[in-house]
Amino acid sequence: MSYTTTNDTHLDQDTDHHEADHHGPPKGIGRWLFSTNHKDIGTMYLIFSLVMLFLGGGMAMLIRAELYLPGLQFLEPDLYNNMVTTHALIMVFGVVMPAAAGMANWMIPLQIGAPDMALPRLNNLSFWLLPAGATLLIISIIVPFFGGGAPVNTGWTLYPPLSIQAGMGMDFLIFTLHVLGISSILAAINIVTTILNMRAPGLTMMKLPLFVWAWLFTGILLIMIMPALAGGVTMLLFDRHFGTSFFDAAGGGDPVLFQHLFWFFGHPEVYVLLLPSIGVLGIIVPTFARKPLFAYKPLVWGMGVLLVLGMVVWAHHQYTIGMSVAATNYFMIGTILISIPVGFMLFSFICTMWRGAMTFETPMLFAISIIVMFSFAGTTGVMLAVVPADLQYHDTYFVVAHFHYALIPGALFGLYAGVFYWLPKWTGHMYNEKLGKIFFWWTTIGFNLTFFPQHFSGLAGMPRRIVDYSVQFVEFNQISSIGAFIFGLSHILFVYIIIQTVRGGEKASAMPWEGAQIGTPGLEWTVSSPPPYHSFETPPTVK
Amino acid sequence: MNNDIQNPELKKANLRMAIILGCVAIASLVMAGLAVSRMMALGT
Repeated sequence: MSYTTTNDTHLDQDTDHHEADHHGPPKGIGRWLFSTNHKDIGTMYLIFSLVMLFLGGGMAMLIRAELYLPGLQFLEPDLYNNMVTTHALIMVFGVVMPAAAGMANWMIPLQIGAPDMALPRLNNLSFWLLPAGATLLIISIIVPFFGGGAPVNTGWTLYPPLSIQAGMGMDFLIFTLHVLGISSILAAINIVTTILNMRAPGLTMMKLPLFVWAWLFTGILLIMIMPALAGGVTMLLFDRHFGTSFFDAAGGGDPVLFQHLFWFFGHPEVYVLLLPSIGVLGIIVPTFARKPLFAYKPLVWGMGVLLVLGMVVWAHHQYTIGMSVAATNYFMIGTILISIPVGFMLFSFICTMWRGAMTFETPMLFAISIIVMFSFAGTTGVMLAVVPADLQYHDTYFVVAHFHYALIPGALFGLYAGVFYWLPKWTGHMYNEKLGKIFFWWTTIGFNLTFFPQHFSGLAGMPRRIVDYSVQFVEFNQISSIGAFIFGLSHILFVYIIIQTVRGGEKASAMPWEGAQIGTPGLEWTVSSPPPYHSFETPPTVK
Repeated sequence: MNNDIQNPELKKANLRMAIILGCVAIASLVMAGLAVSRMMALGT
């Protein structure tokens, strides 16, 4: 792919871009409060998700500290269950989704040669709803300490009847989901519109970087699933306060209805979390293998198949409610079919690396570890899809191990890989490669130490979401807890690397990675590092 | 960039796309309702 551009503010990395701009960034707090600039909003998304990572991660460490020994250590059972609930909600809605949206904000306009997002003011609103939602979430944790009834102890699934009986914290949690849901839908509408309407002339859909494709599918998924969650929790609110009985069997309702509504959202949500990272992999692997992405077009189609299948298999989370045999078989077969596009994606990345001139910089190390560790999640996922087996595994630590292997390598590590890959572009400085590699090994070892033993404790029958456990599980839990602290503390180094890179270091060229132009690259490499405040005001033409 | 300096045609196209996607969101809520009620009718 070649391109021409008439925008003289980029291409030459030594150009002082501030002089060439119409104006620099606004000064003071107003720059951030009222920003409509995709790079500023992307930065705010990323900082927000980093702060929430420490909040949610702190809760995870509290959980693991409590589980170091059987019996009650320092968390009351209700508070423990509240930590489990809030940890999950923060990680899903406060960390992975905003971080992926931050990357989308930063990179999609740059990759497609657009001057900004299609709806810049809506972009500002999407972001600023997030701190409002986070505040409501924190209020939901603290109201029980001020006479607000029992803490929310339902787990992130918010199943009734427990959620109908919970204290005032549940109301704040419902409002949190409303606010964060609106933010997600608005962001998704903006991203899809940007990709469809704002591409540079000549940049056809099949020339788009895989990250852009991944976000197109993610955006469509978000638009289709968030309303189901919003509807479900609104019905919950009505059951709690307005005398309805949607989920109350005593009034003719059915709690299973909520489970269906929740998982209609909840299962595709997994792909919302995974797809952006798959997109990041689709850029990083060709760069460091120095080969075009293997089977680019089938990969795009594979993501489309994943979207469709992901929407219609939600009830595999509910085998134990006792569905009809026909329904159970349908959901089992549909779920197992998902392993085909997912397996194809992993094979495509492996084939891209095959006989490539590979180097192992930090983003590539993360990419390889994702392929290996996500395969574990894929294997246990197929095990969990099989009904008779799932009836044994259900609500055990095996499930906890499975979804952490899916979401930490599949989503979080993909985002780390993206941060290391694009940090030189964002900041204009190269990060410290040695520290990056130390962070990779530190976090990978910590992660595996935490979650690998949970496969065994789960298979041995240890139930999830319970503060106390039987003494035969002590060793597995102690290894898990030690691993969790190793994993958690590694993130101090992550923050240090980012701060060090932002503050200075070796200057990054416009294209800091040798193989970045191989395959279907984005146009981000045609602008300087860091990019000018206003980029692509005159659209480049792609040939 | 402020969307005031987007050319009017692009601005209109973006708004139209946003409205269509908003309608997709509402339609998907209806679809979720239908899918879930069908599941409930199948017997749980």
